[in-house]
Amino acid sequence: MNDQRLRLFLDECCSSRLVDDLKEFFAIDYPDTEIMHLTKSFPRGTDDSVWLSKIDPDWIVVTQDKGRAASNKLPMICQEKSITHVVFTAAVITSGYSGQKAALAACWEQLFLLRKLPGGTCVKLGVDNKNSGVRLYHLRIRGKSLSAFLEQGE
Amino acid sequence: MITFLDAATKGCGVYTAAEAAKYAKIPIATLNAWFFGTQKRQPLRRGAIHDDGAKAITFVEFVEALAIRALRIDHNISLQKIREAITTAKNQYGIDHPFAHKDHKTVLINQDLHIFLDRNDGNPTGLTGRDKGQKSFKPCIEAYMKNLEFGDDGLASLYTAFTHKDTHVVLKPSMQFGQPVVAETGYSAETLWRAAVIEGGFERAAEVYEVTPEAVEAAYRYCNSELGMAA
Repeated sequence: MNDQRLRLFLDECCSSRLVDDLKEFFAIDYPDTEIMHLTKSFPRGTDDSVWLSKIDPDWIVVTQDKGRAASNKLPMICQEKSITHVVFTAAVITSGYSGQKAALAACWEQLFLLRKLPGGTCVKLGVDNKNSGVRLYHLRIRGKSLSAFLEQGE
Repeated sequence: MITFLDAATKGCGVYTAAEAAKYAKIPIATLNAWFFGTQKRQPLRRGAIHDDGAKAITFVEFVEALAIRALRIDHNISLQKIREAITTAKNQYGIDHPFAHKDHKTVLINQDLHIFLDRNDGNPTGLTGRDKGQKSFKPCIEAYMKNLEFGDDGLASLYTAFTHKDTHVVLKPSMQFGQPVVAETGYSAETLWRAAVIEGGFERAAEVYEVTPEAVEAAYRYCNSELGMAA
């Protein structure tokens, strides 16, 4: 990946409209961004093996955190295939389409730093709701902020 | 024997015990007892997935759980008899999946289980009871195998769990790892249910997820009525 190129694969937990919205939003600053969505980029009923074969460590997978390790199948597969993956926390998932869009847009610049992480790293995209009504989106790895993790390592 | 990840990536479908229990509408302790045994009892059958710490079953085993549930609840067949049928099918006829194969349908005659040994078999053979090992010519009941489609290997490959106004919620092992999916969209039923709840209605959710309102409604009704998910 060159520095200005981002390849995102959105799982079906995300709205397919995010693809066009994000591409349009970042079209000028990041024209090389590639975004695939499971239900938009592949025909309906496509076997898992087909779309799984299209994603490799060059992609960042965006999916959701189901909370229980055993049912988090896509994150487990990403880990196995050394694909860095961003999981929405429950708070982002329940904030709906606009919340997901805001979360990805807010962390956009940071997504480029994910390539510096070891392949297969699970990054949580969460939100803090401040008393003032401001929402702060953040990327965390095992409880550390992305920048702290990159500075200190594991 | 396969691992949890193999089952997920090779199109076998994979369900944690909790997921399988939820989708089959069986108490989790019951499903655990059937597939993983208890301290006192061996499981009815051993699952194909073996992974440290992960209690999970494949799609075919999930279909068998549906069959066992139907036999237990709708026809009051004892677990002892079901266990005997599974063991006899395997040991005497080499049939691994007597409840999920289109050529080896297991049927009820009175309160005993009989199996068709191949596709052209006109009469089923007894797996339990007095007719064990013998052909039966009595009328039989197909106690389950409803809403199933089968693959080239004869095994169940798709289960239609719910239909609402021509929109179907299906479980297919090679799609979304076997989770319930609104067939017409490719989205999981849970995703569209959540969208309906969060976005505030079928129309808005349909707009955001680029599907029809009917698809969202089907997902919502399925999750509500079949899975007991509350908004």
